[in-house]
Amino acid sequence: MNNTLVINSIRFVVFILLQVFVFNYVSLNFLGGAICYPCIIFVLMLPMHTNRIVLLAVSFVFGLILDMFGNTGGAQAAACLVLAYARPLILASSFRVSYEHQNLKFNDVDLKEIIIYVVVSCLLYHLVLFSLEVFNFSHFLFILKQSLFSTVFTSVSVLIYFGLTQSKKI
Amino acid sequence: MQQIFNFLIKSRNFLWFLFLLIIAVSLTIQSHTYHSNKFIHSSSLLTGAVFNIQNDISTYFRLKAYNKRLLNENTFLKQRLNKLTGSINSTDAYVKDTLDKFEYISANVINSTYRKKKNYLTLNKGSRDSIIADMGVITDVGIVGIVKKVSSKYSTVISILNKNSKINAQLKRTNHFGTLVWYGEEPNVVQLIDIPRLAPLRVGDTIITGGRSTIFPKGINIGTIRDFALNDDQNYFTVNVDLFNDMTDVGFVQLIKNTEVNEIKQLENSSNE
Repeated sequence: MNNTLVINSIRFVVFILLQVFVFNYVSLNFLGGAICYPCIIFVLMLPMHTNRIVLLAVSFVFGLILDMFGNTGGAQAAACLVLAYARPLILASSFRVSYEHQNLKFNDVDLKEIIIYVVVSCLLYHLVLFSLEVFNFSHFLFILKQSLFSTVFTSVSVLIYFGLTQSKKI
Repeated sequence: MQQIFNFLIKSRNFLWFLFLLIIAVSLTIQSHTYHSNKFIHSSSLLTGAVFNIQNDISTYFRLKAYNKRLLNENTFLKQRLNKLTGSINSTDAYVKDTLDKFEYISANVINSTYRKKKNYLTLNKGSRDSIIADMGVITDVGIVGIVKKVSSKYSTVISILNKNSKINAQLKRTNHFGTLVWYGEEPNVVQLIDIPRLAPLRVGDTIITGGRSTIFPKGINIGTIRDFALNDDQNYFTVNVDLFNDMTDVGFVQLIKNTEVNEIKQLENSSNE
């Protein structure tokens, strides 16, 4: 249990630094200026069956620190919070059996299941993030476009991360 | 009573989620109101210090380009100085006053964005370097934005690439003026709106600051006209302006301090009453 705490604390710091120093400067021009937010890996990989009050609070603080660096008010905090709140639902619907039996490990799942988990999470996160960042529903199409393109970009980067760190077959 | 407690305990996750969400959304709403972002901004001590370290490293890679720009500016200023020293009679109080009205402070940009709808820059100077809110920010080639928040060592700047930014601007050739805004499309094009229909516009004309506010002195370069079109009501032009400044690589800036801003504000307030 202590081990989980250490690993997650390290992820907390590393993903904030990576996001602030590297990925906030990366954008794809051919995807309409899509932005990559691999920081959500932190939220995606939080322990699953611990106290949800704590998980929500940790995600909120994680987002808030990203907000401080990005001058985005509370958009990141809200997006991370919504993702953390909806995560059990997404986990249950994408992994079904192994989640119910509480023996889900990311290094031992189907590729199809993990793709569904990552893409659905990214889409939810980006929709909340961009709606709050733009905060103007006359730009609805822009929000939608930006969310879709960024979902593609972020999902690919998250899946690459999962492939590199969680795969058994290396 | 028992039922209420039961309900609270049963849905504590949801209530906690709702509570945090309300905080996040209210912070967001606050950040969308000009001048009222009190808590979450990149001029705070923690974020400012982190960006400072990053800037220390990344400026090394750009030293060559920045040196070149500074050299160019130096030669330009020397030429102007040569011209001016001959023509100014320093006993003439009027000339002296207008020259002394603005003071310049230099600063480094330690963080900037240009891909969002609301873009900000963070500078490495703050209130202890006598920076205050609402000072204008320029580079050697053009304008950058207006100071928004100041902490003791750092300050944030509303970029001209920000939907909240409104700056008085005019044509260099004639005195027709309008408002400089950004529709959020490209990071090198801003829009000049409310230019009267009578103004003789030509593609390639230079746009400068108008001097009708206390923030920017008149005559600072902004950009050139890319294209223009009449509004729906056929009375005003909307002009697309190509910026002189490369907003994606700002680096170092100068802040403009208007030494008479208090006097002007006081006078204006007293006449409004």
